[in-house]
Amino acid sequence: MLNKELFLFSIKLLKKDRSAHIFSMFIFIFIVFILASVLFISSSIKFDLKESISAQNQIIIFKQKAGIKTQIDESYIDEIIQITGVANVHGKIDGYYYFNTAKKYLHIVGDENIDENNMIVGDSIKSLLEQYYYKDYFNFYTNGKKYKINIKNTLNQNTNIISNDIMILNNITASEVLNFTDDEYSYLEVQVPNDSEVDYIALNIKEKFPQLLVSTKEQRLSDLENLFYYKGGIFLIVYIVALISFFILLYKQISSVNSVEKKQIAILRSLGFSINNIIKIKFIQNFLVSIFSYIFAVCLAYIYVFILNAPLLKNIFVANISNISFTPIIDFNILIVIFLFTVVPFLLAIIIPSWKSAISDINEALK
Amino acid sequence: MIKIKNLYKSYDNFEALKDINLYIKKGETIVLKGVSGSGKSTLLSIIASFSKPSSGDIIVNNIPIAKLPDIHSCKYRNENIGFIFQSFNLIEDLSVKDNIYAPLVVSSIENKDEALIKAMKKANISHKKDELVKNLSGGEKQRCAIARAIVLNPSIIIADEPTASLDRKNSLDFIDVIKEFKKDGKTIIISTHDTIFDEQDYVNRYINIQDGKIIN
Amino acid sequence: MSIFLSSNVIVLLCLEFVLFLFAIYSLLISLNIVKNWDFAKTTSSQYNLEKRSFLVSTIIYFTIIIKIFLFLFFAWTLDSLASIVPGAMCAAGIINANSYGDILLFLKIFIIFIFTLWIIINKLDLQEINYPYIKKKYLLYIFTFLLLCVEIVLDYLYFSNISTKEPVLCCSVVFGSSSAISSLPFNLSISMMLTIFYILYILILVSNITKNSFVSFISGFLFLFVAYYSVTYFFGTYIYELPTHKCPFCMLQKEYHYIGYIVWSSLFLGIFFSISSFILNVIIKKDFKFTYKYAILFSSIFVLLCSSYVLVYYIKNGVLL
Repeated sequence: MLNKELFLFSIKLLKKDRSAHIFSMFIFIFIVFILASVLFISSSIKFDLKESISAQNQIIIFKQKAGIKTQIDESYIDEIIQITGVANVHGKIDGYYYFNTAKKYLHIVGDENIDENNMIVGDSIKSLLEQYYYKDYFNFYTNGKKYKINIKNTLNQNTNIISNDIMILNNITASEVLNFTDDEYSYLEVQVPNDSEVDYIALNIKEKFPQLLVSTKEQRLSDLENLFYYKGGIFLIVYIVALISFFILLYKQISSVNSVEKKQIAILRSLGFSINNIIKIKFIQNFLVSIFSYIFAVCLAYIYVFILNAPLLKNIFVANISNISFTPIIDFNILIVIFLFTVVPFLLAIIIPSWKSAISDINEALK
Repeated sequence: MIKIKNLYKSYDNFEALKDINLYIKKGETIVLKGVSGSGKSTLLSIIASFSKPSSGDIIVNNIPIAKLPDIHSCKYRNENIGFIFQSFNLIEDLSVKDNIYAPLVVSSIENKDEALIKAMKKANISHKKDELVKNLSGGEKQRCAIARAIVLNPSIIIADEPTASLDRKNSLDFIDVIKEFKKDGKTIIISTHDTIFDEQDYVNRYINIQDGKIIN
Repeated sequence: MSIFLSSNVIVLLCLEFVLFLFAIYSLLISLNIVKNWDFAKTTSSQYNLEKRSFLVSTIIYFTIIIKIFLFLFFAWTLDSLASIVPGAMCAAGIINANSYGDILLFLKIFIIFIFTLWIIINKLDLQEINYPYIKKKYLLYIFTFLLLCVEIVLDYLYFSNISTKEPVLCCSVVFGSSSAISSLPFNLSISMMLTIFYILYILILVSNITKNSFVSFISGFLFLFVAYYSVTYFFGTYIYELPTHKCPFCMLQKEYHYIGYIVWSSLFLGIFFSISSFILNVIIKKDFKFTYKYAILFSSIFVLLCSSYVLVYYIKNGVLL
């Protein structure tokens, strides 16, 4: 079907006709670059979120009032801990404190291992506080009371996209800052050592307390995937519109075969190159151009997202975070999706123009 | 050998060739004469299977080429015809070697590199093999075109106004090449206005075409 | 949350749609050819038809390469959807999420099969000097186009009916390791089924060695079904090394080194060549050695691969499952 010599000859002709392909190559690289960058960013965020969820305990319980999550009180802990299979139940503090001056919400998380007067903050929080002249400590104001908490440590920006945005306070302090009462928590964490019992226990809890929202780790992971499919899907649909316009442009560009090219094809035909041979040559050339552009654009996107941290583009996905570092994740699936979305339509777009130039009259072009 | 019977070719409403009957033996050298628009080029393009006749038969080397599908007509052209064009029709941005190699790319012969070297030697263009065609002189381009036409050792050489772009010296060189082809037993068809081909003993026949018909 | 918003599904459906548009264009040309082709004519419209036939064959060549790739991607996508559809552990659950899954899968394979046949006939047609099979070729394409119409409708129906909220069955329920009744057709026992499996394989070998295309066709066709059940209910358990794990799809996953792709593709190729010798004989009345050769090759790869898993297990453990 394809012989080596035709392949090498096609490359020779391609090298000679470089300039004819430059324009389409440039636009193609740009399109692939955008798609690849967006997919890399979203999959990196997804990976980080997945890691966070995986690190959490098996079952998380929220209380709902009129369908909205609200504080859950301590009394549930005693009842739940009695269910067989449950090793432990912890109350967790997790909420947002409104920093008036900056007009921003700060994500507060409670941890029993940290001292009452200290806190650990994420990198981007540190920069934010410094902007408002809080260098070594920060004052929380709740209910007329001031809580001065020292910044003990900063979380490295490379840890995780979630932790970047966090302030870890002592459980009791956090509770006070967020205006919880002594026996209130944001949610309860249930430790279930045996994985296979999780679903059963979750069902059990749900039956006992129908007003509670019980979510297993598996459900959370699945919800996360769904969220990403949703966001990714919306983007792709918008992207398709852009892609269609590009391919119309490409089609027009390739169709306008100039007289020099027409003559070249006629010369080859006069030497015994069949219509199929000419189509093959065009295919080989465009395949090489598209593959090279694809690889180049993907590498460029990798550098842009994971080394330069995607300036400008990241704001589509992540608001409020100034310093961010994306965890380098290359998913085989993403590379295939990008390939199918770009290289394949590119090649489809050149079928008809290639055929048209191959069937043109020999005599006409050779005159 | 070329056998043409009742050949007609029309474009839209214009009849380019009318009832052509011709028999060319193997090894003959034919010169086609006629004014521009008389149908010489049309006839040559049909023999070379660049275009198909509207009706009639044409059998070349025992292959009926009038209705051959593309793949077969290209194979026929590749193996049997060596065409030398008036404006050479070389690919300017490729080297001499690559231009001469082009017909070999789609052929099925065994020793392609050997054929390439032999053709370049015969046309006396080996010393310029890596040179780009656009940098060659008129005579050198002619020799490159000749080498390309003979690289597959075709039995039929067709030359359409071969000396139109050449000076006298190169034209005479071309005639020497024709004589070599004749010695090799090739069938040669030359279409020309050039008087340099008139009344030459290496030419077996002169055929006049006028208004799409053979007159003598 | 619609499954349509999975990027894999979007790519899949978009490409299928674009290929379908090209298929419509090819259909128009094919209808023209079937109606007006007359090789004896020397009119420019006849020569135009000849030129257009090159376009159709180029489109079809390209389509089949993409379709094969898309089919593998389809299998991969089904597997990856298992993580967002509740209850599904592998593609088995996703395929059985609604009634369209099985038919769609079978149809996709059948379409690839028909296109491959078309390419073989096209190659043979171009080798002759008077396009002897051209009308038959394009009638076959028109038939394939109808299948493509069904496929695109099924694609849409299938994916739009996969719920991300309702749980689907996983393979252990679908393939009934927990059910008391035998899930094999005709209430066959495993040993009977295996006997038939190997008998049919020998029949395929013998018919292809003696070049009997009809017997090859029958035995190949039957072997397809018997092999499916044999792999799901017997050989698969040796791949998973678990007597209760009966699933044709789990073997496509990473943990089994993606062996499923090789098992199923060697089976499909073997069946394709067994069946195609007879069909080619019927359509173009000619015999082709290569179909017999490849039928033997691929069915042997398939049978040896499956049998080796059983053998290796026995050698390692001294017992069978």
